[in-house]
Amino acid sequence: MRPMLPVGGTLVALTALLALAAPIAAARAVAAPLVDAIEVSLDRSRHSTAVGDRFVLRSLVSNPGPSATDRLIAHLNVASLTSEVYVDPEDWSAERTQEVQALAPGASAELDWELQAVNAGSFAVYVVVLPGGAATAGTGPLAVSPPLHLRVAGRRTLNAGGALPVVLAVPLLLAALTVVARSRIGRPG
Amino acid sequence: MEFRLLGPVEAWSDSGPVDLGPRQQRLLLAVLALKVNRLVPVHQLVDLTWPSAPPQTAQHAIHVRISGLRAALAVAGGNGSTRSNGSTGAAIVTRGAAYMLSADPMSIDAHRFRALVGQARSETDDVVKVGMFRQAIEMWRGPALAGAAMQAVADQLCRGLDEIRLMAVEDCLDAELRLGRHRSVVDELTDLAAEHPYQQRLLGQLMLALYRAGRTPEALNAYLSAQSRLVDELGLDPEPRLQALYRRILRGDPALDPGGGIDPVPQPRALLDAVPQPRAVLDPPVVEHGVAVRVVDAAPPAVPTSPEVPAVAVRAVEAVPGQSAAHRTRRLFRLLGLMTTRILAGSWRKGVLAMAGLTLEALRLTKRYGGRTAVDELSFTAQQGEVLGLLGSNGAGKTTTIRLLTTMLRPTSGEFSVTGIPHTSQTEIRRRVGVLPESAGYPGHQTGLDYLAYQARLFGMNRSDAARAAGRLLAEVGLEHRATSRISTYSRGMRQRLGIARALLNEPAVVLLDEPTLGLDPAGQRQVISLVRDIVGRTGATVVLSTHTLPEVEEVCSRVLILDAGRVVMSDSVSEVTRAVAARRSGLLRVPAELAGRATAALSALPGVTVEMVGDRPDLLRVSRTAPVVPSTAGPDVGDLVDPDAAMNPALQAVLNAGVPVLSYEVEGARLTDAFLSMTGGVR
Amino acid sequence: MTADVGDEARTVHAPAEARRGDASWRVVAGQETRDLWISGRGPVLLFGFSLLMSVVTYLAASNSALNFLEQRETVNLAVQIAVTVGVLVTLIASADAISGERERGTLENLLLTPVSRRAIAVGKLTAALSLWFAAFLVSVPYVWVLGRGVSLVAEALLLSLLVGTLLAVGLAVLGLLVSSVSSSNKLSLSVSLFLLLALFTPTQLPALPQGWFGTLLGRLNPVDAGMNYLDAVLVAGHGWTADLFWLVSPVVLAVVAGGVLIGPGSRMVRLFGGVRAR
Repeated sequence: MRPMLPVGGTLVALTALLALAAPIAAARAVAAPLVDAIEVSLDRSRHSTAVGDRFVLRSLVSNPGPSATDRLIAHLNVASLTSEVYVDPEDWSAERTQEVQALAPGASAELDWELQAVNAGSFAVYVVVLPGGAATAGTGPLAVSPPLHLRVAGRRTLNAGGALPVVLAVPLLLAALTVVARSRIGRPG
Repeated sequence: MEFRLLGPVEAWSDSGPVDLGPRQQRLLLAVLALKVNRLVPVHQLVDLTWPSAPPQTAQHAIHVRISGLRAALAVAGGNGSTRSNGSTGAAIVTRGAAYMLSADPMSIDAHRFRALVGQARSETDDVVKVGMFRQAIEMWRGPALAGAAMQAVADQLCRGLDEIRLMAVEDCLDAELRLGRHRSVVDELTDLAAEHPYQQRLLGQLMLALYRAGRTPEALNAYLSAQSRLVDELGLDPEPRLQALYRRILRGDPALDPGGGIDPVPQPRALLDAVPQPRAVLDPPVVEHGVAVRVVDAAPPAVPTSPEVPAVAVRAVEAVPGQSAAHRTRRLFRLLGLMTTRILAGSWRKGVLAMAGLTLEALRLTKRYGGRTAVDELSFTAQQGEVLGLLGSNGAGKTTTIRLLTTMLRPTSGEFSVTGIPHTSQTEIRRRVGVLPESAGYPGHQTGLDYLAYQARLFGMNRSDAARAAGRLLAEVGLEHRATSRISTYSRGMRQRLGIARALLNEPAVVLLDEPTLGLDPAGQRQVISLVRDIVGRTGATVVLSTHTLPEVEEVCSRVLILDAGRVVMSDSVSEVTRAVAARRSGLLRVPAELAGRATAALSALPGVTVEMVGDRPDLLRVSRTAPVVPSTAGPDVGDLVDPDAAMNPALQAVLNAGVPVLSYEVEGARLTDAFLSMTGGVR
Repeated sequence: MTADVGDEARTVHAPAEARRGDASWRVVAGQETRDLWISGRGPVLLFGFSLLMSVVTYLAASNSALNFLEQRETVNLAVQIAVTVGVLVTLIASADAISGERERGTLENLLLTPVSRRAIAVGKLTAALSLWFAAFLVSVPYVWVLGRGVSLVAEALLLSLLVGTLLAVGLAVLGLLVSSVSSSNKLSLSVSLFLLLALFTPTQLPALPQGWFGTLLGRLNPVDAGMNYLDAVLVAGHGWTADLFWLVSPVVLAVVAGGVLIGPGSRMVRLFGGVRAR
């Protein structure tokens, strides 16, 4: 009986190992490039800013595979992590699609994305790369970068109190000038 | 019934001549016939029948003569009696204290003559025109009213007819010359020129006819004889047109040949309308300082100093004969100096025109709006220092003329110049004219000083000069105490004075004032007129004054231009214009009402004077008389007019001698108003 | 004639030969500007404009729900109001420039001076444009208040100056030409305002899908094109050079209108209205 326990334990350990390794393997398998697969990465994983501020996000598209890729299209997306905040990616960046020329094996391309944080809240920003060649357009697979977790702090930049001096002063000043001008005309000669 | 006045006074009926009775009866008929279908007061008939010392029973005598005429006409079947064919002949009608001959005007040869001449004038075919003129002229069987009226009375009644006849003859001869009939009219023209030695148009026609007939020396002699006669007897040079014709004959201008298209007497033209020729630079002669000078040779230098200032060598100057030698010599040298100064100071044209004293000249200026002609072939000149009155009814073209001369409107045709600057140089013209427009507005919010200073800056002055000029001019027009008041507080008179000040800002050579006294009270009008006189006296500028107010024209203008429907109907001095239509037969006399009776008695005692009250005004009397007559060797029935201008002096003297003060006196028919109305047809 | 030679020589008239002043157009511009601002409607118009801007600014500032994008839109709105109203008052001034003087009877005296018609036209145009520049200056504090939170002040002001000046020049010249040929001041003002309305109305229509013709009209209409350019840069965040095609018609309007006014159009500055010379 005693010789069964070590074998069982070993089997369990192996199974556990396999179970743990499987996702890794699977992940690796998933992350591991297929024949035409590419890698996309961002220069940072977190960023904090305030509403209205602009920043530049750098992404790297690389081809670790043995053969050259076709022409590629890289696309930037912004997703809101807060349900009540609506995001229109067009407002965040004017240029959300960029082309990447065919990458030779081992080559890579850097893409810069200009963004302006137009909403306050928590957002995920990521880049997707698709095949874009004549023959491969519309086909897969897609390559996605890890997300950038973006926190945008709100800023109350406009308030009635701040505007009141201008709102009152300008008309008053002009009214005074008008009265002075009229009284100059009305001065008896 | 037919009446003939162009010669011995006759009447003809179907059955033959009518016996009109004695001379005075014939005269009465002639007067009534001349004023056919119009009432002639009895007193007028008395004056014409007895120009001096009518008898006490003059009016009764007139009635008797009229009865006699009626009887004569009735015998001839004319006095209102219905004839066998149903037509009614002439009749003498009585209306109160006046008589009228009621008849068809075409039954009277004088009126037929006028109508025929009018038709002939409007005829375009020269052959037909000549025929009609000849027919009209042949109506004359002798001097008008021959044997019926004394010479003085005939002149008075028929002066217009005589003028029309002469013009008809001239027009007829013009047409004959255009038709190439110069040989056939030479004799007629020679006689006419001898008969009318001062008629320059006839002379021109004679010259042209002789020239075309190949008798050039005689043509030239005719001119020279006439010239010496005019200079010796009247102190006048021949008209520029005649002088131009003379020069053309001298040059043998082919345009003078038959069919050359030239009128026998060329249209009026400017003193110099072409680039001056190397010879005869200043021809015709210019009268300056009493000396007529003709430059016969002037050579431009080989290298002119500048395009605008040509240097001139004047090689020969010829003075026109007729002046005393010493006088001529003395003045000549002064004139040469003046000519050189002027010609070197500017362009040819400016220099010569300035020397001739002309600052403004217009030549056939025309403005048409579609089918309507506002100004029609307006030609005139104005001298330096002259005040030219521009008269005309509403719509006559005065404001259009002023706007043309100030470049506000573009002429349809024609040209004008200001101090020699042609009208195409609009900016330069505007620098030289000062204008008070008729309906000028002023910005109410500006002060007078600010406004004038602004305008002065627009004429190119800098701020300080502009302010100084504005202040000075406001003082000159009497507005210095209101200089810093807003224009909206100015009265109308003050605005007009401001406008005059503005017109003087650029020290203009010509000042044009369009209705400067419009809307002003009498005091304001007087102020403005006085200003105009000051302008002329101080600056020597030429002033063109467009106005309705005729008394102010009489007061301030040296010459007057009367426009009617865009055309000039009269251009002459004020006195000549009024003399042309003056009757000088009556005047309006105002005396204190309580002494009117005494004045009436004093006047009634004078022979040939009639006095009547005007309306129901006790202080206003109409005094009528003829000129005094001196006995003549020709007979008791013939008299000579003596100085019609002084005709009313004895009447005024009589009133004064009676101790009645004369509050005012105005000669009727001698006012510019009368001349104006007669030339423009009165109210439109 | 009894005058002396010396007298005659003296009275040869020449124009007043004083020291030369400023160029004529500057003199006209100076006086017209003074008339507009000291005794005219300039201060009143500007006061009204500032009231409008104050209301819009206060409403925007007191709206706590405004987010960033809506703030950009508010800045765009303020700029567009400044440009539209500024151009409007400039057009009113230029539409009155010739026909108004004609009716008041002061034009004839101006035309009787040696100042060229071109100088008169340029001087009056300059005075009318002073209204636009004054409106722009008044709008500066408002745009600053609205735009400082979204870093848009400088960009908005520069754009406002560019687009507004192009439109103001073009439309002011059109107004001047209309004023020259109109037989009455009322007609001139009516036609000019109608012109502005016709050009401005398409900018207020909803953004419907347009075919090539609609797009072409939009680009040809200088007011519509100018507003679209402002939208593209201030709201959509495009670069200045990305949408330059919108500026073609405002530039063409300004250049052509200016050329016409300085060239043959200046001859229409005359005593009577109408297209043909009298």
